[in-house]
Amino acid sequence: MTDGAAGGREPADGSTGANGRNVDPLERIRPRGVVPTGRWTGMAALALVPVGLGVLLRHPPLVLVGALGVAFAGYARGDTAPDLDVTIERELSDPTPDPGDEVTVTLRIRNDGDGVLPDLRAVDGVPAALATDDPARLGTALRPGRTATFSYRVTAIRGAHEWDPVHVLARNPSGSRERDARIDAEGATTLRCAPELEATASLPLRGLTTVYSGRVPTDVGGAGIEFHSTREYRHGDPAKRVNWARYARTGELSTLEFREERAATVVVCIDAREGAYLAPDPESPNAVERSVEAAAQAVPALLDSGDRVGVAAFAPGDCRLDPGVGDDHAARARELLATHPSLAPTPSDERFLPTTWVRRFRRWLPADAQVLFCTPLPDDYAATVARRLDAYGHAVTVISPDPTADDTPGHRLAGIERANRVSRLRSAGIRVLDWGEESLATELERADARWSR
Amino acid sequence: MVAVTVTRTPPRLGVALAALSAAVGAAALGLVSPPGGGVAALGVLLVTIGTLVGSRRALGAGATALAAGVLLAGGLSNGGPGPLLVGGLAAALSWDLGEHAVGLGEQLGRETDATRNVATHAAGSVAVGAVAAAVSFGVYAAAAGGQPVVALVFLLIGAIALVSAVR
Repeated sequence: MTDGAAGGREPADGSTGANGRNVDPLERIRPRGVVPTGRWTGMAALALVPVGLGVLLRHPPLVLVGALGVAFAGYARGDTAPDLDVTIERELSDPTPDPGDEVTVTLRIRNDGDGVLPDLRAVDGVPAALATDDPARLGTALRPGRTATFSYRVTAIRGAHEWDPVHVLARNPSGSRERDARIDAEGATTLRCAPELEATASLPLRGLTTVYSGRVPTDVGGAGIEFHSTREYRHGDPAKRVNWARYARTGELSTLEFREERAATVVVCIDAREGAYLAPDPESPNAVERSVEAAAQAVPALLDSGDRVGVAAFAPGDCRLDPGVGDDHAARARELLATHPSLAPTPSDERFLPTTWVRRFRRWLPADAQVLFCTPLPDDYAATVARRLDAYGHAVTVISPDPTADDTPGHRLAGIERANRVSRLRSAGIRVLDWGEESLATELERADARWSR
Repeated sequence: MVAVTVTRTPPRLGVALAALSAAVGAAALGLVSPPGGGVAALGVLLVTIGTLVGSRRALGAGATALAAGVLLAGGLSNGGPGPLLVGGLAAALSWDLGEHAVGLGEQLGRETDATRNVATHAAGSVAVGAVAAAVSFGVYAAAAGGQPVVALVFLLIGAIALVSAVR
């Protein structure tokens, strides 16, 4: 069902060689506990070579060199790796930063045991999605009761980021044995970064949702603007709804009924499948980040205009927020957009069945809901979903961040395929906003002018 | 978002210490015996290259060359106990400090601050080596003279047995 072609290069999301993840880039499986390092293997045997030579040539000083070698061999056979009796404490300078802020993480390791730790190495479990320039590692020696401190800076991005346990290695003085352990740090282990839901008043979303500027006129008579019908006057009807023209003509009182206006129901659906995590180059934000950004701007603007807004994610994991209104609801939407695992900055590897998702989504969607589909259109299936929802009676508008690059022929081809999908959707009557480098507000204004023609 | 990978080459202090110990040993051997000094100089080069790049093989070859220099100095030029002990100590230390630095480079990387670690380890190894060299020199000065070489060997075998029992 998918043609597999993805637009743009795939971002390096930190799953290979991420800072603090692997001690060995080849992912060696290390046994826990004490491990011999083998650095002094064969020392005792080597030490006997000068001894033998000294005896052969009858030259005593050579035998002394052998004694030196034996001493080192004995040093190496010495005590075992020390017990890792340490307490680790992590401190974040700001546990709830805004996106883009720099957070300083400080790690303090205290030796709680009685013996000295002559060779202590620690690697902090930095979350995969956070980027940092400093190595989050330390090599030191600790006397009992002393504390070693090191710190590094990370740049915050949207989401709830959990730190992994600290990987600690301790060796005995000669380095012949090593103890390996992963120790949880006390203190802060989560960084929550929730982007502000900015309700930019100038966001021209009115043209986006319906032809009738965000309010859907119904066929029910009641209070409103557009004339619908007249009925008999009942005691208590407001004076301004009385049909005075008729009263002047015939002397009968009657009341005007107008088309009752209801607020629109909009569901913002974000494409967060694994194939949607695309970016033109490793430094740009990926398409899912941009989709979430678009959603974070659209939700408050829609709520302000009185519409009921819900949020869903086209991704594994149940990410769904029923449509609603109010400040509570806005807060819940913000929390969901910031921290739900389906919308994490890096893709999860859960199994995902798109057709099942589409079926469930259709069943959950309220009958009169419109859909604001935020997707980079990485494959034909996204376009198919949009057309199917449109065919089922839910008006669909697509906001599509453009993740394509044009530096190689393959990338250009992917860009052309995406452009074809956009034009096919447009010719099927679905409005598509192709979001390139400009800000979302600018693109929406341009699109608004185009759509209201 | 790209997470940074560390450069997995040894820290500079470790490289400097290993190269320094090898150089001192080569100098001591060179004073006594030109062929031994020549081989030891090759060893210094290999040790430096090995620790700069992070290759245990080159480092091991360098330490072996230093040890060969010691054997040559003792065998061919009949070097005294002082230069031979310094050369032997240099061979062992250059391997120890160099391999420690290479291991640090693999696990922590060059950008990490591991000065304390390197310094502590170097201090420990140098202490052990210096004490062992001093003791053996003392034994030699006290015992050698008329004693046959075989007596020294027996002394050594006794020491080995003691050391094995300690484990």
